[in-house]
Order: sequence, then structure tokens, then C-alpha cells
Amino acid sequence: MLFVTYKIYSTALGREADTQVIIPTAEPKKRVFEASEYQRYPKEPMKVLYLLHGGFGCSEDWLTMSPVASMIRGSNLMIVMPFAENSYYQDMPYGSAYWTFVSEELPVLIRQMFPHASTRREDTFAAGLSMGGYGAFRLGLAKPENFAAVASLSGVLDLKARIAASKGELKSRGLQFTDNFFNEDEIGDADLLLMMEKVKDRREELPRFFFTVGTEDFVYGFNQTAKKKMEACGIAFHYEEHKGAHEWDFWNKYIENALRWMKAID
Amino acid sequence: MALLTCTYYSESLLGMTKIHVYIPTPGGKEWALGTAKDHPFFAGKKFPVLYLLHGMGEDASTILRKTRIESYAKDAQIAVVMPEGENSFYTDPAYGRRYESYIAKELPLFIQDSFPVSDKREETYIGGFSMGGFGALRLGLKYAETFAKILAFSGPYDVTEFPLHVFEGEEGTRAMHWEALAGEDFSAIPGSDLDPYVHANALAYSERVRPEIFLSCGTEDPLYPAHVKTQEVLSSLGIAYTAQEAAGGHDYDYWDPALLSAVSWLTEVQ
Repeated sequence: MLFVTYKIYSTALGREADTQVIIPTAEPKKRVFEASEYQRYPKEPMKVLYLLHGGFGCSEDWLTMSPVASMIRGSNLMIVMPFAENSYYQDMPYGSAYWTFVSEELPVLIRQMFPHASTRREDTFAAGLSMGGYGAFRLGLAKPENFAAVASLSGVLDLKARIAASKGELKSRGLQFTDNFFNEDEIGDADLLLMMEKVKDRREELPRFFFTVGTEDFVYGFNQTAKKKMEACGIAFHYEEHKGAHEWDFWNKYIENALRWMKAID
Repeated sequence: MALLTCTYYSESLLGMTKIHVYIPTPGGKEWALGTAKDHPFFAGKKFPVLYLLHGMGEDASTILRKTRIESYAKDAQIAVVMPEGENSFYTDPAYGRRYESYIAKELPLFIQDSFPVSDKREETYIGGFSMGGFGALRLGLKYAETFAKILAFSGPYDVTEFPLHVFEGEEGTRAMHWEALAGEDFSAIPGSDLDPYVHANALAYSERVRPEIFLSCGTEDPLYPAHVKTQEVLSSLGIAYTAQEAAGGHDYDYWDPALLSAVSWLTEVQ
């Protein structure tokens, strides 16, 4: 396994940024190194998964809290984990342009730096938890030409409702959204439900969508709203729900389902 | 410059090891000036690469912290790899992890395979400080087919002096485990595979390709005599080199400016 902290200047963010990358590599245990037998990477280009963290989180979360690194051992999948503060993967009005970074700049920085990373749509995936689940779906809806499949685990799929809640029942805890939008009451294309309407006529060009949520999770309702909207728009998806809440126990149980369903891993 | 800090499995070392890698990429200034999109990184260029080896007691991060290597590499537009070498003298020791196989055989293959780095001998260089200087000279001479240029700073190249005499009577120097390298008989080291001059000799009496060599040492450095002796040995063998010296000791106050001039030498049009 190759663990990389990839530090590079990002023009979208206007500063140096660290992205975590993990790449499965061969690990021969024989006693003498033979240059003629050197082979570190699979022969095929590697599939790339952009794996997004949640609110209050960082790019190391999936590494430290989940089994994804051990899941990709021996596979043909590399994982890229950017850091996006609490931005909700938006271009923040008075802050960093995380949407531009994740959706446009980072894939270029990954492809130029890692020669084994596939450049094909069919080999490119996005997934995330909570705020990251929202981010993955936004990538799938806004950049369908770049992704074969996207997955949301406990995603905040109804962002308008979440923003409203931040002024209501979630006022005293959780994220505020005033940093992320010029006007948090008018979020335009950041609203996934609006995007679904916009792209429904191109539904054959969309990636495959996977989402899962715990029945005790406070974002359960947002997922039902999204499900209904996708059904109404005729957008194909796979949905599964399980007992569980908004926590790593849930994400760690079901991330494998997401990766297998997307065909990111076999 | 992009900085990639990597922890990964090495077949030679039979375990995980760490490297810091610099790859030339545009920074804030280039983006502000509008030249970033034309940077060779975006055109898929594979960059020349310098393997820089740390000294005894140090680690893969030391050179990064104690020199301005990033700045020098950026001006020269070369990639730099700073591996971990523990206190191995970059050998395949009698006892310990196989750092010679790692640095000279495996690492260049791994780097070329993993990053936008050239696989051409003419664009592959090795350098180091103190124990790393010893490593760079010895490995650069022994593996002349891999490395086109050597930058050796203040290394203990003369194995008739070091370790036989230098640490006699010194207590508490746990770092010095020359016995680990080749067993207890230090007198067997000169003239053996551990002796850089053996590899200089082998190269001189062959038709093999030769590396270009840059030697640097401070005149107040206790290892200055080895710097002088190495020049005598190379001259007597007809192996060309460039030597640099200035007032200074066995420390990064000397090595940092010396590194700047060495990197310039590295990329001079010949």
C-alpha cells in the first residue's frame, strides 16, 4: 500500500492544500529484490474514487475511522480524499472555492501526478458521508460526464431543508451555512433536488446513484425527499436503508456495499 | 513544487518506509502571473530526479528541514526524492534492512513508475551529506549504469580511517554499528565491497559508463582529509570529478549553500 499526503498549490483555493491518496501496491515478501521481477502496480489503469468527508471532518477521516484502506488491498482502486472544511463542497463567497477545487482542479492534479490513475469516466467514482454524501451526489448530477457512479452514505441530500433546520431545530448545534452561500435562502444549483429536475431529460447520461441511510439518522427525512424526487424525475438509483444512526458504525458497515454496487471494487 | 510525503511497502526492506518527494509544479506566483497552465507539469513532462541521502542519526525529513532544497530544485526544475536510510550507510548490511538494494535498485524503479519522473540514466542523480555522501559516492560508483551524476558532501569515504579509528574509545555512540555492516572485523572493510574506492577501481578498469562526480567539503570538517584523499584516488584512476571546498564544518551551514551550487552544477548544459 502507498499512502500519500499530496501537498500542492491549488489555484481554486488560493493556497497550498493537502489531499490524502491511497494506492494499493504489490507487497512481495520474498527475501531478495529482483529488479527484473519488479512490478508494483496492476497492469490496467487504476480506478479512482473521490471519497469525501463530512462536516467537522477532514481528509484523514476515512483513513483513521474506516476500513477503506484495508478494503482496497489487492484491488485496482485508488482513493483520493480532499479536505473541504465545512464548506458543503461549495465555492464559499468569502472563502475557498471547494466546489471548483473538487469538481475541476483536483482530478487534473491527480491525473498529472499519478501515471497509473485511469482517465476514463467508467473508472471514476465519488462517494461520501453526510456532507460528503451531498458532495458526491452533486458531482454526479453536475458533472455526469466525469463519473461512472456516485454513492451517498447518510447524505444531506435535501440541502434547503438542512439549511432551514440550521435556523430552527438545529440552531444551537451543528453547522451554520452563512459562510457557504451569499444567500443561504437562495442556493441555486447547489440544491440537488433542483439539479435533478434540470438533468432529468439527460437521464441516460447520468452516473449510477447509490444511497443508504440509517432509519434512526436525523438525515433520514432528507433521503426520503431525494428518493421521491429521483423517482419523479425518472432517474435510476439504488437505495437501501438499515437500522442505524449518523455515525461511523453505520458508514463502516455499508461503505463496502456502496463500493461493490458502484463496481469500484469487485 | 508539489511535496508528496509517502509511506509505502518496500520489497527490499520487507516493510514500510517513508519518502519525501518534490515534483516541479506551478505555485501561487505562476498562477498569479498567468504562466501556470504552460508549466511542463501539465504537459506531462517527466522530470529529472535527484535522490538525496541523509546523514547518520537523521531521517527522510532532515534535508527538507535543514536546507532550502525546495527552492534549489524549483530553480533547476528537477524532482527530488529524500528516502529513509536509518544508520545503514546505504548498504545491504550483515545485520539490518537492505538499504543498498532499496536505494540503488528498487527506489528508482518505484519513483519512475509512480510519479512523472524520467527513466533516463542521464536524468537520474544521487547525492547526500556525510553518511549520505558516503552512500552517494559508493552507490553512484557501484551502480554507474543507474546514476549519471553524483553529489557527495563530506562523506567518510576513506574506510581505512573511519570507522577503525574515529570512534575508538568513544562511549555512548549507539548510532555507530559498523559491526552490523560487515561483522566485527573492521580491518576487513578496506578493499571490500563496502569500500567506495573498490568501486572506483572497478569502474576505472572497465569500459562501463562513468558518472560525473561533484565532491564538496568544508575545510574545517574533520572529514576533510577524506575529501582530499578521494580526489587523489580518482585522479590516479583517471576518473574525472569536480571538487568544491570552502571554509566550513560538518554541518548544514556549510552544506546548504554547497547544495545550491551543486544543484546548479547538476543541471548545467554540458
